[in-house]
Amino acid sequence: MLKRVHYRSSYLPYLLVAPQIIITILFFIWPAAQALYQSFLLQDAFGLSTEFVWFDNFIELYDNPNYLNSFARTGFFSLAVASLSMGFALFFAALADRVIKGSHTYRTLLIIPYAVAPVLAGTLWLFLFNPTLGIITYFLDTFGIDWNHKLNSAQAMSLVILAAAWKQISYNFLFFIAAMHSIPKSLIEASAIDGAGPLHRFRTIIFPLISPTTFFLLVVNIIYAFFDTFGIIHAITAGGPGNSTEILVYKVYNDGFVGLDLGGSAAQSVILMFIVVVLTVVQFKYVERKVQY
Amino acid sequence: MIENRPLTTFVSHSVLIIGVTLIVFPIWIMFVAATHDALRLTQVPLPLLPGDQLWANLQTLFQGKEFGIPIHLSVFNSLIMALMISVGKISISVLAAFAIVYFDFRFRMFFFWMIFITLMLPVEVRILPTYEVVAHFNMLDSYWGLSIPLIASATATFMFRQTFLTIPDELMEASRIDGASPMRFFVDVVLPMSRTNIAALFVILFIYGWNQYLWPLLITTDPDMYTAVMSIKQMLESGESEPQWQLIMLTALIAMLPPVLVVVFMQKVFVKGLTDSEK
Amino acid sequence: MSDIKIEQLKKSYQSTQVIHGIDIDIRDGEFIVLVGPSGCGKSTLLRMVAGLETISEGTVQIDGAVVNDLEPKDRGIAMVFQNYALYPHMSVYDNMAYGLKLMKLPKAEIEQRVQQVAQLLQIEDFLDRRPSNLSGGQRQRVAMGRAIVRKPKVFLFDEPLSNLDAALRVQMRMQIKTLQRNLGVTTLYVTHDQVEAMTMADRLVVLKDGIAAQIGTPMEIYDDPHNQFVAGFIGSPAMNFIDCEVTEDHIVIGEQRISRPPHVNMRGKLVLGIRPEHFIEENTSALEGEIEMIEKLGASILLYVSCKNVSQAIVIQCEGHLNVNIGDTKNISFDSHKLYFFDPSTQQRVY
Repeated sequence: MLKRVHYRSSYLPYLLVAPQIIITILFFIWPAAQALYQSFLLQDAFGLSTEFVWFDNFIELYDNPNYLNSFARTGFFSLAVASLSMGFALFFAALADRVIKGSHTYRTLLIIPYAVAPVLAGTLWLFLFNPTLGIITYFLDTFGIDWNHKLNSAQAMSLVILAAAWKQISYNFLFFIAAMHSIPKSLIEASAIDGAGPLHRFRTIIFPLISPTTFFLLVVNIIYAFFDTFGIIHAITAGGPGNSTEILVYKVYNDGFVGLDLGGSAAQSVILMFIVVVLTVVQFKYVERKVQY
Repeated sequence: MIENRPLTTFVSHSVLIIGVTLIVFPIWIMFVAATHDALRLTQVPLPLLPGDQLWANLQTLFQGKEFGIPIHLSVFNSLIMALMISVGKISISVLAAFAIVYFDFRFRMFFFWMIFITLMLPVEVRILPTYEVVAHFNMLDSYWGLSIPLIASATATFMFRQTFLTIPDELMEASRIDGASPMRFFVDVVLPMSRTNIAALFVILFIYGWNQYLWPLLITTDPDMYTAVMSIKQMLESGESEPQWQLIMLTALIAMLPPVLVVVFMQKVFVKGLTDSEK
Repeated sequence: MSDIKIEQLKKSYQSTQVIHGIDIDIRDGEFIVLVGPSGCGKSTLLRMVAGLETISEGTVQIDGAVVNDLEPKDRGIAMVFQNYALYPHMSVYDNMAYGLKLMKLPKAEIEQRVQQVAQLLQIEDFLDRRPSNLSGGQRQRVAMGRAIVRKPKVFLFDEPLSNLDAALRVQMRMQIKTLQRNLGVTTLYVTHDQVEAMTMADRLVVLKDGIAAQIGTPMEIYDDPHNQFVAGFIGSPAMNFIDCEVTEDHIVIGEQRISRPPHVNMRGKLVLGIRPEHFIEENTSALEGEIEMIEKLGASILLYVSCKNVSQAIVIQCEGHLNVNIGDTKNISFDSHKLYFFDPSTQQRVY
C-alpha cells in the first residue's frame, strides 16, 4: 500500500488528493446519497408534496411485475451478450494465436468496434436491420424470414444482443489473446511432444489455463451489458416494443426522466448500485487471487 | 507454431478472414451509405459499393441546418469534452495516487476508500441526482458540466498506484539525497517513468469521453453544445418521414473516426495498458 | 575535514527497538565498515546517518554539527545503493548531473565535474547511454560517479557490490578502496560479507542485534575478538568452538584430554575456540579423530574431523598437498598460544 519509505509533509498530500476528493464528493458521493434518500420519498404527481415512506418504493418494485420482468430480462440479456461475444472472441483468439503472419492485421481490424460509441453501434445495426430498407433484412427476406424488430419483441431482443455483443468482441479478443500469449511455450511444446493435436491441445491445455481470464471477462461483460448498453438500446428500440427490451438501466432513465417517478427511479438506482457493488467485489476478489500467484 | 501443417494454417486464415469481414461489414455498409444520395437509399436492395455523393453529403452536414449544429462544431465539442475528461482524469488521478503511495498522512486510508467506492457507481446509475447537482452549479449546457462529473476515476487512480508501487524505493531516496523535493521527484522521476501508462490511459479515457452519450443528452439543451455522438439520436428522431440515412451514416462515420484512429495508431500502448490495468 | 561522531544512537519502530544505543567515533578520511548478519541493524544505522531514517534517540554529528534534523541533501553526504538506484529514464550524464542541477550550479561547472569524474571512473564513453544499456559493473561505477560528483564530506555505501558476480566483486572492492584513499573522503560502508569487511576497512564495526559487538581494526578483531559472536563471524573458514572443561591438569574434550598449557589459568566448563589455520602438524598427538569429509581448495585443504563425544566436526586447515582419505584417523595438535576461551553462558571471551 504505502511505500516503505515515504515523505512526511503537513499539507502537501492533502493538496494532492483534494481535486479528486472534491469531485468525488460532489459528483459521486453526494448524488449517491441523494439517490438513497430519494428512494425513501414519495412525491405526488405535481411535485407539490413529498412524503417519507421508508421502504415503500422498494416494496412497490418488488410487487411490480413490470420491474421483476425487467430484472429477468436484464439477466437474460447480459448472459446472452456475454456468451455470444466471448464465444466469438475466444474462437478468433484461438485462431489468431495459431497463425503468425497477419495476426497484427487481424487484431487491428478486430479492435475497431471497441472505439465505436454504443449509440453509434446501435444506429449501425438499426440500419442493417431496418425493416423496410436494411440490407440484412433484404437477405433474410430472400430466405423467407420476415424481419421487423419494431413489432416482434423476440427479434428486437436479438438485435440489441447482437449489437451489444459485436461491440464487446474487441475487448474480449484482446484479453483472450493476451492470456494465450502468457501461457509458457514449453507447456504447449510438451503436449505436442506427447502427441496432442491442436484441437485436443486447446481443450486440455489452453482452455483450462485461461479460465481465470474467462471468469474475469464474464464479470466484466455482465457489468458492460448491465450498464454500458444504454446507448445501443436507446438507438435501436428505446425499450420497445412494449417493454420487451427495457433493461434495468434503461428503466431507471425511463421512469425517472420520462415518467418522472423520482422515488421509484431512485429506488431502482439504489438496487443497481447494490448490484454493481457485488459485481465489483467479485471482480476484486478475483484480482486479489490473481495477484497472489 | 509447433508443427507445420499448411492445411490447418490455411483453414485458420480463411476462417479468420471470414470472421473479420463479418465484424467489419457493418462499418463498410456505413461508409457505403454515406456516399449515396437520399433517393438511392430508399431503393431496396441497398447498395454494397460506394457511390459518388460523399462530398455533397459532407457539405450538407457542414451547413448543419437540418440538425441544429454543423458537424464540425459538434466534433469540436466532442473533442473538447473528450480531452477535458481524459486529461482531467489523468491529472487528478496521478496526483491522488502519488499522495496515497508516497505520503504518510492522516485519513490516508479514508481517502483511499472514498476514491475506491466511486469505482462502483457508474454514471448511468446515479444519473438523476448528479444531474441535479450539475443544475445546481449552473453547469448545464457547458463544457464543465459535460466533463467534470465524469473525471473522478478510481480506475485511473488504481492503475497509477500500481505503477508507482513498482518504482523502486531507492529512487525516491536517491532523489532525496540529490536534493529533490517531493514535487521535484514527482515531475523529474515519477511522471517520466509512468509515460507508457499515461499514454495507454489516455487512449482508453479519450474513447470513454468521446463516446459519452446519455450524459451529454441530458445536460445539453442548447444545440451549440451538442456532441457528435449524441447528435445521431437527434437525427434519428427528426422528421416524420424516413430518416436521412446517408447523413446519419456519414455523421456516424465522422463521429467514430477520431476514437478509431486513436485506438489503431496507439494500438500497442493501448493493448498493453488495457490488459495490464484490468489485472 | 570531516569526522563523524555517533553517540548513543537508538532506533525504534513503534514499540520494537532495533538499534540499542551505538557509539562510534569516525576520524576524517577513515574507511569504516559496518558488518554483521542480516537483521543486525547495519543498514538502518547507515540510513540514519544518511537522513533517510529518523533518529529515535541519540545524535549524529558531522564535522561537529548535529545533523539529526537536517534533510539528507544538507548533510554533505552521498550514497551508493545496493541496486544502484539510477534513474532509468535519464542518461548516465543526467544521472550524475541531476543532484548538481538541483544545487543550481552553473552549467559549465556541472559539465566539468561530470567529465572529470567520468574520466576517473572510465565511464566517459557511456555518458549518453541509459542505465538499462549498461552492464552490472558499469552501473555500479555510474552509481559511484553520481556520489563522487557531489564532492561530499561523507560517502555512504549500502552493500554496493552484492549484485555483482564474484570476480567483479573482488576487482571492484579494490577499486573502491583505492579511490577512497585517493579522494580521502570519510566513508561508511555496509556489508554482510566478512571478507569484504576485512579487506576494505580501516576499522570494522561488528554489529549484532542492534549493538556494536566490537569496534577495531581488522587485525585487532581477528586477533582479539571480545566475544564468541565476533570470533565466529570474522575469519574464514570460521573458528571452531569446542565444549571443554579445564581442570587443574587437563583440558577435557569429549572423552579425551590434553594437558593444560601453563598459561591457561581459567577453570571450569568453557568453550574452546580455535581457528582452522591454527592447528599444527606434529606427530605427538593431542587429540585423535576420524576424517569425515575433505574439501580441497587448491592452496589448502580443509579436513572435517569428528572426535568421540564432540558434537561438531572440527575443521582443520592443512597444506594443500596433504595425502589423506576419508575415514583416516587424524592426530590433532594446536598451537597452545592461539587458543581462545569463552564463557558458555555470557559468550564473552574469558581468555
